Amino acid sequence: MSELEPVVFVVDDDEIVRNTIDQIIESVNIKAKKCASAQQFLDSYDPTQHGCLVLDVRMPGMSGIQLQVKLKEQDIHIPIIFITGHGDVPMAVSAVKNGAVDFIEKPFRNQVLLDQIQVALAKDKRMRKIRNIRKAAEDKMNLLTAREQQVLDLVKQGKPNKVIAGLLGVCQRTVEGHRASIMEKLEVRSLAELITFVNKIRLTEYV
Amino acid sequence: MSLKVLDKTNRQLLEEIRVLRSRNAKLERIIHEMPDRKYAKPKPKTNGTSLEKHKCHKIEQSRISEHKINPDGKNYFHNKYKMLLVGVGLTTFFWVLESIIHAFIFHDRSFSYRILPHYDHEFLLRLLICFSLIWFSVYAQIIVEKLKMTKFGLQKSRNELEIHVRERAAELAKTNEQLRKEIIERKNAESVLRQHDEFLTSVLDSLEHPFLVINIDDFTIDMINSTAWRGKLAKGAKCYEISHRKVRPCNDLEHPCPLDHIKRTGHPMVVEHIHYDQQGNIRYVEVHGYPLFDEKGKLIKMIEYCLDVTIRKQTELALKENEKRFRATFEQAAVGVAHVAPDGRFIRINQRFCDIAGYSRKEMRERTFQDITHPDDLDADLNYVKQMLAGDISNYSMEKRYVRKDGTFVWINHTVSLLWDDSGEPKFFISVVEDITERRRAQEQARLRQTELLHVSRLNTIGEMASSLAHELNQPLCAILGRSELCLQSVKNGIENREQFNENLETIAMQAELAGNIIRRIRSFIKKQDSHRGSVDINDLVRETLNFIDVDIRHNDIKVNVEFSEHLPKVTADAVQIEQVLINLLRNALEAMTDIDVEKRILTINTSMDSGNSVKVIVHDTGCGLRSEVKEQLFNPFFTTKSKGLGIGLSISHSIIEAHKGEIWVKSNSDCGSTFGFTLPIE
Repeated sequence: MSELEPVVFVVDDDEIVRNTIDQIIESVNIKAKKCASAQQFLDSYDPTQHGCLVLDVRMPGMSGIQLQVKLKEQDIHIPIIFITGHGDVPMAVSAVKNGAVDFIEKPFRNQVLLDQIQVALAKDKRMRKIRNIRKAAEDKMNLLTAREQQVLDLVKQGKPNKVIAGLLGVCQRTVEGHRASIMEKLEVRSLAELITFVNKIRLTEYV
Repeated sequence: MSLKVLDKTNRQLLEEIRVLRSRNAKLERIIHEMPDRKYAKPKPKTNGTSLEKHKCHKIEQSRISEHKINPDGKNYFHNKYKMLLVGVGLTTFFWVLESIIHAFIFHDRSFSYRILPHYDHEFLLRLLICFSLIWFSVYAQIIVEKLKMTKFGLQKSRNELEIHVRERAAELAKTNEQLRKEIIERKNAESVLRQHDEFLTSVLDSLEHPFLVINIDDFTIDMINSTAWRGKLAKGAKCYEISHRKVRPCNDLEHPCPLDHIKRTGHPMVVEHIHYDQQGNIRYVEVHGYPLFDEKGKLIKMIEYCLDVTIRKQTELALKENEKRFRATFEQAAVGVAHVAPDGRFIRINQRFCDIAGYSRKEMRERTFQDITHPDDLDADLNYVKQMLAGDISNYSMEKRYVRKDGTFVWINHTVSLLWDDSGEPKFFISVVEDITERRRAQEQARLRQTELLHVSRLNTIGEMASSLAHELNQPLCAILGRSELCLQSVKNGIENREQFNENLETIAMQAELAGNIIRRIRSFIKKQDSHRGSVDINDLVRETLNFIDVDIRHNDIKVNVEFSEHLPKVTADAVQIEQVLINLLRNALEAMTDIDVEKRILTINTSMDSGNSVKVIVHDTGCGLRSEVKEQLFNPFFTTKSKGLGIGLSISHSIIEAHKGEIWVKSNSDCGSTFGFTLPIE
């Protein structure tokens, strides 16, 4: 099974509901995987697997919300669509704040769920892409030495080499050397490119 | 009378004796003046002070003279011869003596010669001398005799007088004797009388009651016993001075004078007076007056004796006081009091009772308690009465209704006891009645409030469970909606998988049914509000309740241990209310365990018998437990530890169990969590 083929995980304690959702998803030829509880999902989930999570809020043992928190703690960024029999506003707000795609109240039309699944899968795809870009950028950044990092921070603030040299207590030539090294390691050719690169990392942090 | 006669006779006799004595004295004086002192009587001593002495003396005198004086004069002749003999003797003696003298002294002649002289002249002389001597002697004798004769006559008359005196004296003595006898008799009579008198006095003095004899005219006391007056009574003391300490006769309307009454009517009378005793204390007395008449039938005195009735009077007063107090207690009591005959008639009733029953006193007396008791309450009341008459119970208390005159009902609390007479027969019932209509109304209101509160609590429970219930309901709805859309899709696209299609339809039907059941259950839970008590199997009730909150149990992932004692007796209870209690306790237990580890969440429900007459239900959780200050207030209304709680669940549970005469309690477990329990009495 290719890693690129997304799988929708269905976590609900009610077997009938679980099966129904499974059928709905499969009816549009998306692969679905059923889990009877949050724990079962946690145990079987592979973070590299593309896909999304259809999660019931209220379940014996670990609830949907708890699972969301746990996944975040484990830095697992699978998009979550909450489905709930009886949801209240604070619960929904908290869920969405924590990155849920949607908060759907049971009973729902099949299309609503399928739409959201599509959104979630797209989001997963995009997020994975962004995460890959950032990861590459971060890998490059990790090549910089501590001194180069310092110089980079000052450059980002738009300080001229002369000022940087004064602040760090080194001569201007040394600073110029560090800058050249940074440009080489980050594979950029101009200051504008450098700033764009740095911003890319900063922006993806909030996705 | 005889004494007077005697006295008179005596006086006459004494007069006579006095005359006789003076005559006698004269005679004696004459005799005394006579030359012969031989017959001179010694002068009687005139110091005779008493008649007696004098008389005795007289008798003695007469006796002496009797011996010395020959009363018939025979002595006179005897004396005459004697005198002659004396003359002859003397002559002879003279002759012999002359002869002796001449013969022996002068010796002139011999003795014989001398006796028989030889000379005639001498002899003649001698003879002459002798004869003259004899003559003289006889003559002297005659004179003496004559004197004697005079004396004798005197003596005789004196003797006669003496005899007369003696006769009179004897008569006097006789009279005297008689008199003495009479005196002795009289003395005896007097002594008897005195004894009698003393006896009477002792008898009267022995009486404990004052006894007086009062002169009718002037109220003076003729006689009084020592109880009435100790010591000597002043002369002329009046009865009112003694017994009333007053200076004038008492005569008020309340205490009429018995003397007046007797004077008026002549009949005995009894009247109550207030007297003073000798110490000056006030005594209540019953004065008995009794009239005394003389032989002519005239009222002269009154006998009065007084019975001391102070104690009786005090008892009477105390009784009266008691009676008054009792009457006041009876009449002015704030509750209705009635004495009811065993057949149900009202004997005595107080005003309050009349007010409660709405009838007048007269109307009440014409009715029985059966008449005014509400027909629905009568059987229970009569049953009690029967038991009480049989002696099974000594009293009873019940709440019942009276039908007032105006047809309205009045609720009363009715406490009845039974009074038995000495022969063991029921005398009357004492019924104390309290109007509790207001209380009943308040109770009814409170009950309504309670029911409302219960309903609110149930709604609240439902509200709290809304989330679970919604989830519970939405689950099947979700399945239905999803599957129906799938089916629609299949129909649109042409059914490829008929098996799948059928299964979906079946699921839809099943889930729809499930949803319907859930709604019905909620509806029935909310609807149950008209409470009525019946026979309840507590195990069934616990099972039902667990079923109802199953959603919560499942969602909170709680393990439930059910420990039922089988064959528990049924309890008389309001199933809806007890279910509410169970829901409250179970939900509290569930909520207490949401914050602890899943594997530790164990709810234990235990049913058992408790001390033979009640059933015990225990709900045991392993939750967070209760702080002691929380525990104290737990059953107070509006006390809650939950952010969204109203604080009425446990307070309602408490009042429900109390209304069922059971008990509810809470205690902390030794390890963790708490245990709630309640008991319900067996029917």
